[in-house]
Amino acid sequence: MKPAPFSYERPSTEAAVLERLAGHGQRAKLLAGGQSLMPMLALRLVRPDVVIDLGGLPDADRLEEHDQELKIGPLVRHQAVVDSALVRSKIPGLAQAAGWIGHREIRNRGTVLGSLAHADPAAELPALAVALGATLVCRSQKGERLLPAAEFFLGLFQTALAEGEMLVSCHLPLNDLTAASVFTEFALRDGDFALAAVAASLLTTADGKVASVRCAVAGMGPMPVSDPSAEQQLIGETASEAVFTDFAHDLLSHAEPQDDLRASADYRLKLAASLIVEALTESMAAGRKGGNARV
Amino acid sequence: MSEMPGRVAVRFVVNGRPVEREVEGRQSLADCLRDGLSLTGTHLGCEQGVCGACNVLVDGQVVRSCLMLAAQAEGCQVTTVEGIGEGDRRLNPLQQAFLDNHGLQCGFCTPGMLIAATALLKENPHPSREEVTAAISGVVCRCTGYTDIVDSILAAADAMAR
Ligand code: FES
Ligand code: FES
Repeated sequence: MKPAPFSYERPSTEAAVLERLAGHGQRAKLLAGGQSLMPMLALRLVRPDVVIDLGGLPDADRLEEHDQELKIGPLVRHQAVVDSALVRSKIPGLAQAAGWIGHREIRNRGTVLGSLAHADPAAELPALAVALGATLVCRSQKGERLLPAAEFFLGLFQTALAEGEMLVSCHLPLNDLTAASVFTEFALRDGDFALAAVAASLLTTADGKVASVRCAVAGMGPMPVSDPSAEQQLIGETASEAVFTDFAHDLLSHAEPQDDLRASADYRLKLAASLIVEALTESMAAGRKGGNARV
Repeated sequence: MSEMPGRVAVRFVVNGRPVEREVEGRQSLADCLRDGLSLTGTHLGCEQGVCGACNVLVDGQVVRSCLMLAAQAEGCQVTTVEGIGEGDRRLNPLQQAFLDNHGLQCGFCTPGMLIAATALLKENPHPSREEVTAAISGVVCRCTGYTDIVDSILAAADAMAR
């Protein structure tokens, strides 16, 4: 249960991180909060020759509003997001999602960008990033790419990050839709991985028709599941439990839930469907009040 | 790999005492505390972040010391279970409450529980039963059934308010 030996490096600038990443290639792993990487090292599921600690980067824990976007730096920890008044008021679904992650001990160390880059299929933040249309900033010595979250997650623990590239920032739009965002999930015990988790945001017009909607689920396949065409179809419908249920059905037709010791695939589908309806209903209520329902 | 990687110099403060160590890059903070500094109050149950026995405070925040490299503690203030008492081997109100309320049996989980409770009571001196339960949900106890641990922490909150 001890990691295999590796060299530890702690560069003090982003340029130095990118230089080392370019030099070491796949032999190196980036370490942010370590709450996923450390267990993988201990279990020797990964055996990098070099671990590059991002802990020495100045201002990497910045969480700020800029040009109607929330910008999340590489060392912003989950608990900082949970506690942020900015996040709780302007993008409550993010604070809720971060609050569902692991236990307090994990949230105190784990980082938002680390979770996105790790791309665990049951993780909360990838689904939230897809639902709310996050832009992920990937940087290497060769330059920078801005990827929509929907194009970043490629499969089980797989992302579009290329060799030598680092996820340096996550940008989330701040608008009426994200202000009504909701995140909910169900796990067997406090801190367990979710059996199913849902990020959703929905706004209605004054006469109760769906004006805009975004939704993604986690734990229902190798990566977050969303359905932009089902979202398009929902727009203009009169909001009701019945149309939300139909929407959940359409979205979940793309899901690939697995049977395991904790729950059957069938149970997960039913659970996800009811969580989707619940999240959309709650987001609708939050949107009508012009803010969040609960954090 | 062909050669053993070099060691890393790290400086941090443990229980108020500055320490300077040369560690292997792969060494966890938990192993550094236990093997390097002989602070064996921090227990290791799983070494993969699941059990919570290794909880310590880093800059006042409860964290898993098995999920942190010793090298990552550079410049940090670390508090272990040895550092929460009142000195002179006197128990603090939280430790006394665990003793009075049978908050431990074998004691393996106790350091993790005490550290989680210390962090909770600092942030929230009057927690509800539910808040206590949530705060210790990351620490596994195979003996007590948890009820006496929750009672202990609530009793400590009362004692500290007096
Ligand atoms: S030893 Fe660290 S959580 Fe179990
Ligand atoms: S007292 Fe034995 S594990 Fe908790």
